[in-house]
Amino acid sequence: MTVILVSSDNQDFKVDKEVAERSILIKNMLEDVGESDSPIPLPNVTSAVLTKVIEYCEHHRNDPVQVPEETDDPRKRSNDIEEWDMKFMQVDQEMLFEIILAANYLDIKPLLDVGCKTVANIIKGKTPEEIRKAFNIVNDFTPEEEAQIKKENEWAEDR
Amino acid sequence: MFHRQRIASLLKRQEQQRRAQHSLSLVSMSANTTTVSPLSASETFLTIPELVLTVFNFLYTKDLAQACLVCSLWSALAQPILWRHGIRLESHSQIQAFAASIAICGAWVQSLDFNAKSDGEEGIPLSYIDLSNILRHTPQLRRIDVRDRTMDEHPLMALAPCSQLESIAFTQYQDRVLDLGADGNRDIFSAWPQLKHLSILGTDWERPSAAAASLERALVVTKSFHLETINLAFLLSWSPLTVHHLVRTNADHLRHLNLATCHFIPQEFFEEILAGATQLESFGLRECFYTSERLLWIAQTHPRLKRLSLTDGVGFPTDVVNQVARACPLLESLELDSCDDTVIAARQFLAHCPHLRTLILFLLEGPNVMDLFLGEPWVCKGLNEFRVERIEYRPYAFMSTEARDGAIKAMWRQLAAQTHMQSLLLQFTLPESGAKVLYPDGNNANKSQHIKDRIQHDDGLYQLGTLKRLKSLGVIGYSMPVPPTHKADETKGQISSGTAMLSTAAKPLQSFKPLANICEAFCGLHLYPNDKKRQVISYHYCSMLDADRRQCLVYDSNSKDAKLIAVEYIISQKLFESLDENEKKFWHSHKYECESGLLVQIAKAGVPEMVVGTAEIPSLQHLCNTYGKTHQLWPVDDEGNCSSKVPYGPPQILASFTADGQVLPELLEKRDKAMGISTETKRKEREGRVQGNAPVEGADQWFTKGLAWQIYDQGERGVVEARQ
Repeated sequence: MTVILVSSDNQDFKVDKEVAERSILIKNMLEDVGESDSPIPLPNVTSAVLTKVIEYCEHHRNDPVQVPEETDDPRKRSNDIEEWDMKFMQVDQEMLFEIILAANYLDIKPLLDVGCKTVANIIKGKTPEEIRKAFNIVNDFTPEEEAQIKKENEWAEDR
Repeated sequence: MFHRQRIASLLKRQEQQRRAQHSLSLVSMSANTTTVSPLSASETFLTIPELVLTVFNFLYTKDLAQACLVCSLWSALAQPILWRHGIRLESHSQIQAFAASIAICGAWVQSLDFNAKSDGEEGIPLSYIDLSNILRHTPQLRRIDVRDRTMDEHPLMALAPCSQLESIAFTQYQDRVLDLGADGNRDIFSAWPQLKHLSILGTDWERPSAAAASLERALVVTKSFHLETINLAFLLSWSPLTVHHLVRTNADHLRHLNLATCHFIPQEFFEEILAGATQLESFGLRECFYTSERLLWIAQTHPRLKRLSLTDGVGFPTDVVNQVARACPLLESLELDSCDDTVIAARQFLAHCPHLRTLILFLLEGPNVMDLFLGEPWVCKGLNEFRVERIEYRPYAFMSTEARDGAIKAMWRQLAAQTHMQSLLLQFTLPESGAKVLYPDGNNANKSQHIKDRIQHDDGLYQLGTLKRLKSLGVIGYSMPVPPTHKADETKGQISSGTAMLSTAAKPLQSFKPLANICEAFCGLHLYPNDKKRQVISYHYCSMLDADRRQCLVYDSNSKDAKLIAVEYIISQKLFESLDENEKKFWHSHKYECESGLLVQIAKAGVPEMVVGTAEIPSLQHLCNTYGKTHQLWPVDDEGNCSSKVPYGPPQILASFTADGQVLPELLEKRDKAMGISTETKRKEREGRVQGNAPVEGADQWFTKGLAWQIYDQGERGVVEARQ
């Protein structure tokens, strides 16, 4: 069984239901409408991004459903990205964020995680100035604010 | 609540700024522009706190601290995460710095780890006042670990203000008596109604003390406990009744019980008490006197056991272990040591426990050592950690070379089938100290004849390529047979155990995109000896001819479309010394680039830097004393690239770096960025661990004698000259 997804620029994508249902948003929509052939509009996703998202869902179509692991430390590791995913994420930064936003909108948790891990890996080892440069962020601190935060977190430096 | 408002106002401020910028840009735009571009994806992303938080959840202390300093929104989002989880404080100065801000940020703190992990009985001091001052400001604290910290008061007393504590770990020192009030009945533990996990590390070696007795008393007078975890270690003077009391009063909730170096277990009634703990999932015994009947009884009455740890001086007979394995079908984690026959015991678990994920074995020995891998495939398919510390493998104990080869193959086959494997350690041990026996190709002339036969067609570690999730790999003391093309000279030229081990052990960690059947990959830099600012980043992919000779294809990157730009031959110091003096002028040493961090292994994507850093050290120590001759085939331009369409001109002889200040900083920076490493960190890591002999005279002549030998194309004939 297949479903038709329509991107924001009105392109049709015919995909297996099983693949489309990697998106919880689409899964819920399909459950709500029941058996129906009508295409599903995705006004927030361009065809370029949707192509990537479908590629991801195709590759992970048989993955078991993620069970959130209960650990003492809720922080997660970003160095456990699988090789295929790592290659998949080798895109320019704008596309990386497009994928994350799409994964967030479509509710595809594993893709969202891989995307956020990739962003985390970009941040790792960088100084605040390098991070600002990487993401085009404006430093809006007053010197006093900056000094205050630096002081508060002094214990965590060079750890 | 305050925090939420702060973030909301920050977002509003950002939005206003952005609008202002947009209208500004509208004004400045020429009249024929009619549309304003919508927010880019990265801008949108950065305004959604949930997404930024998801990213921050993948960061750890140091990077979170940097993120806090990026902008006010990031600091508002990152700071609570930084302070909330898993704070580990070690040095005195760090604790002081932490305490200085605790009044402001303490409300976020949920987990504090002061564990000093000292080896001896003497802990590392932590002032009681310092600890109390910190804990006064951490009402949300859930977990604390103050093990191995000596204090001027009992550590438990400082924890009283933290009523939300769920997990407490501390060391009971012999000079710290708990104050139990005038009647000796003060219910200290009632301060923590949520307490679920209790770990007590004792220091007493059978000397009863008032301090230990006061803690026992405090535990016994406690009216209500809901412990899920009880870890007790080094409490030799304790009365068995205290332990019985602890287990009995918590039997309904108890899930994890670990007892190490305690005398009190074999007392009667213990089983009776433990029988009530029907939820028990994890049971560990270390250095405890315990009988095999009792172990079997525990296994049979607790079929939900998921974790079993039996180590150090337990010594259970094989038949009991067999029955235990059958009685624990849900077992996920097993640590085994010092059974009568650990191999057979472990084999039983591998045959009966389909859910096994972690297997840690100590000391496999005897002629049947490889039986662990022989026979039926393991019933468990999802092992993700497999560790054997010490495999006393004796190749000469096999009946025939066929039997031995079969065992080795079975080992790799069984391991390669465990596709969930993330961490693998195999530590082979030489049977006699100092004996230079090769394992498992067993090449020792002093032993009987058949050990000289090498295992044929063992591609060993190469098979582990199926383990796509592997993050950590250690194979120690195992050596590959020499390549089949090489006829080893029996008196010299044999691959030393070290070399062979490196070339194989390193393989799964590295990336070999440009070429298969290559066993080492390194990234380094070369320079033109006659034009020292002309330098190039070089990716070496090496194979070994024998212990003395390697050959490397050198590419300009580690991507699929890399250009082959050079060929380098690498030979041992011994072989180099045997060269004609006139030949030596073409060769360079590797001492400096190995020691300085210039030369690094090329890791496969996803292999943690830590693993690479550790794995490459022995390999580099070996390379350190080798000599290379590099034929640069593709000319290097001023920017350090091989940019020409075709490789022009005659091949050029390139040299290695020999001292600080030679390599162009910008080129090194480019290399470090491409590899995601820091040469400076590498240098520090290698200090004292990678050390080469002084280079043999004749190499590096551009540096030692100012003679930059090079090949020149002079009309009808080429010449080799050292020009200035």
